[in-house]
Amino acid sequence: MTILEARTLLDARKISPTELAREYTERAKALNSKTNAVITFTDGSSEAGRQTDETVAKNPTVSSPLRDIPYVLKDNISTKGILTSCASKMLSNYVPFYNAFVYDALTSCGAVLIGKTNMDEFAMGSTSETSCFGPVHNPRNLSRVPGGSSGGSASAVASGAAVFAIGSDTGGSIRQPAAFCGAVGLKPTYGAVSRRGLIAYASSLDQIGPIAQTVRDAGIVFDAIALKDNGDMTSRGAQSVSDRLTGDVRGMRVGIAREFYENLPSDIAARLQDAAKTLEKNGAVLTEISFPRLKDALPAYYILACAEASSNLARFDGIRYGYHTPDATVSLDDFIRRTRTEGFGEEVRRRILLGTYVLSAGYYDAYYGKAQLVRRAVAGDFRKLFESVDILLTPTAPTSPPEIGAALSPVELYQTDICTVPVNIAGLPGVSVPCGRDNFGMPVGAQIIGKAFSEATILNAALAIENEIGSFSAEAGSYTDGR
Amino acid sequence: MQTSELLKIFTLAKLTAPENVETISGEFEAVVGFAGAVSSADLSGADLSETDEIYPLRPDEVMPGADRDLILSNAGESVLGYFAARGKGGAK
Repeated sequence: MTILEARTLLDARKISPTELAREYTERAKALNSKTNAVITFTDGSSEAGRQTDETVAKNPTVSSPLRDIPYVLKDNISTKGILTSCASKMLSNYVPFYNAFVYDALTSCGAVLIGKTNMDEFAMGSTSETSCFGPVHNPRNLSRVPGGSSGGSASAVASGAAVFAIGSDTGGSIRQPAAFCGAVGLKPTYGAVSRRGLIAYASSLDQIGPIAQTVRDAGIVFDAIALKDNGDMTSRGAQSVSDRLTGDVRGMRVGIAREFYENLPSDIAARLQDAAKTLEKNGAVLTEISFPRLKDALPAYYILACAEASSNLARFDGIRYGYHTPDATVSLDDFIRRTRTEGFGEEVRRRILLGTYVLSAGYYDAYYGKAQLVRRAVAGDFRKLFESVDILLTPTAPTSPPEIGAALSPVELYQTDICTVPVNIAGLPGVSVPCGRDNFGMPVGAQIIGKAFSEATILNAALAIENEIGSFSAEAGSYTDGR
Repeated sequence: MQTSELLKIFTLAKLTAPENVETISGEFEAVVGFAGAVSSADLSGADLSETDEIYPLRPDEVMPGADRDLILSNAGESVLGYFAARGKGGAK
């Protein structure tokens, strides 16, 4: 059920808010034995449920389309009184004393939190296999990964365990799982959505955004959370988009950057071609362009993200909160080292080590300093491109979702982020929208990138594709053909 | 990468190196080699101008913090206002 479908049923009183929340909670619990998408369930008796009830009781005229709509939050977004683990042993007992801005924003709209979703540990990964709570499964094919790091959020939406979900995107962590699960994932412009209460991975790249079944739903959720927040000094908020979603792309200039399509499997390339033809058929103008710095963006991203992670995650020492080693230690340093080594998983330790290495004396200029320059260059390239085109159309991911447990090396996994990381480096908005199936029957996502704060433009292009090609419905394995 | 250099990074990162640190040096070198490719990026002709379009910051303001006891509600044991960590031999 989409937000708009649920809204219609609620407004017509064909289902009560309590019945809807109960139905989704029960379904989510039943599905969780297959997908492992949810870490913590919340219900009407929980803190979250009470807060929602109180908010709505105080504001009986709340007229948001999200009122009474059940949703799930990624488990790196702080929720007062509710476990917020980042899917890590390090925070497996951490209960925040304050709410993230986005959670408060959704609560004030009357949306109902029914669970906190599984993810890659500290959002570091692209398969949702690094969670200390076990891997998440893709509801379209349970033997395959749902993508990551917001894999639990995407899996929950795609399986019908929640009407919509909130994820976070540092290098593609909303868009790529949305693509792998057949959902719509929007990474907003940096600063459009407050990061207050998001447990940081890489602060200059992190951004919170929605995962939904349809483009219109993603727009509704974006409008609810893209508000200015003085508690995040990079927050600017954004103009609402829902009232501007028409799917009209007439005259829109669409850039097709050939570098994004190099070495793309033929079945994925064919689906992207379908998406491009759809835009053209609806009046957009396709232009072949070049983005030669794509190959530099990926290593630059890993330098910057890991450097920031090594700094952000230095706070986890087991003293004030979180896991601490039960073993005897000989000194405070020993205590902290053991706590961190036991509390962090392998991939998190690897990224902390890389970040520490590139920031260390002797390597800083060659790696971190150079990566900052590449970042500026990538942002400059985008600025120049957007003088001649309005959007870029690219694949969201260069591969199909791998099998769970596929023995990919760290570098092989990092390389799958190539299409999404340039967007984060430049702070731009990007959306992934389904554009068909690959040869394995798995969803393929088309990514649309736009200028800063052009969410309405990229969502209109996504809507044009969705209107023509169709969307995946929430029931696993089914497909709604819009033609 | 030499073992001594890798051990130094573990120390800086406040992580304990495995006893057989040599076994992970190859994998770590591969990761460093992958990310380190950035050092050879050709930036000739690139627009390296900084812009505040993407990362504007509001003026820094002093904001009220949270209550100390609330902040420390997740902390473990404390003794006389200090945090307790297990000492050598398990003694507190």
